[in-house]
Amino acid sequence: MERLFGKTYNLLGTMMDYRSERNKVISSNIANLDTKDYKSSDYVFKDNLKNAVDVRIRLTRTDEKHFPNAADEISKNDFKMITSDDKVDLDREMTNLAENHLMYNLTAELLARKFKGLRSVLTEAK
Amino acid sequence: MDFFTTFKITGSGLSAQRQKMDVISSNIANLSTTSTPEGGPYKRKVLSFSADPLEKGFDANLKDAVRAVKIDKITEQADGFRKIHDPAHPDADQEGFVTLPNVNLMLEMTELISASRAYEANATAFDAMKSMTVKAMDIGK
Repeated sequence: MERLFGKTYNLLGTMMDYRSERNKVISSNIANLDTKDYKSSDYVFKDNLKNAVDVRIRLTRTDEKHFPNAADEISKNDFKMITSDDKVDLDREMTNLAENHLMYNLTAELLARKFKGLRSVLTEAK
Repeated sequence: MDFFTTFKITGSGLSAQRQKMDVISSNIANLSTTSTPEGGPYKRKVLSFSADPLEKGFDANLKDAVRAVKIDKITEQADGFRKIHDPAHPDADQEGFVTLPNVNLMLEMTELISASRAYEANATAFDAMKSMTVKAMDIGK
């Protein structure tokens, strides 16, 4: 299964989760456009995508009683919330919204195509 | 992953902006109303919003940051009434002065346009979420 559903599926799935959560944050900023004392926030990567995907040192378990080290897959722990002191800037939020929306659709399309690729391998072999 | 939180947030934004437009329309309609059931001329109404925190989330950090919006209060502005001299007016006082509402049409129009734009922004956010939901459902196809 590890070979069949490689790292990419999990990565794309988590990215979709991230995009949908970020969409919530952006929507919240837009809804509170006129709210007094509301501080705009954003949902971002802690480091960057490369770090989140690559630099995970996996310790070899030589004994089954060893604890596995930190999960080597990208997860919700790789993201964080940031709050700025500025009031909501509509132009910035609309840009973020469009970007986030397109990236979500792109991620969904990539995932769909991964599955399509898998399906064509399964059916063409018949 | 829940889409409905976004729908709830943008929905609250749409409803808040619509209510703001209602209040502004009421101010504009009563631009020259000189008598009200409470007595005196119409007073300009100002609506203010407050953020409404939502529970739950993919990340616990999101808990307090993601907020819907709700109507905080509607206040009446008590100053800035205009007075004109018109003794023939039924609401004129002893000296013949009529107190007109403190509504400034220019101000109301700009507020109306800004509320309408904010409404559109919320509608766009709603549309984006809808298209994302449809896209997610297309994955298996």
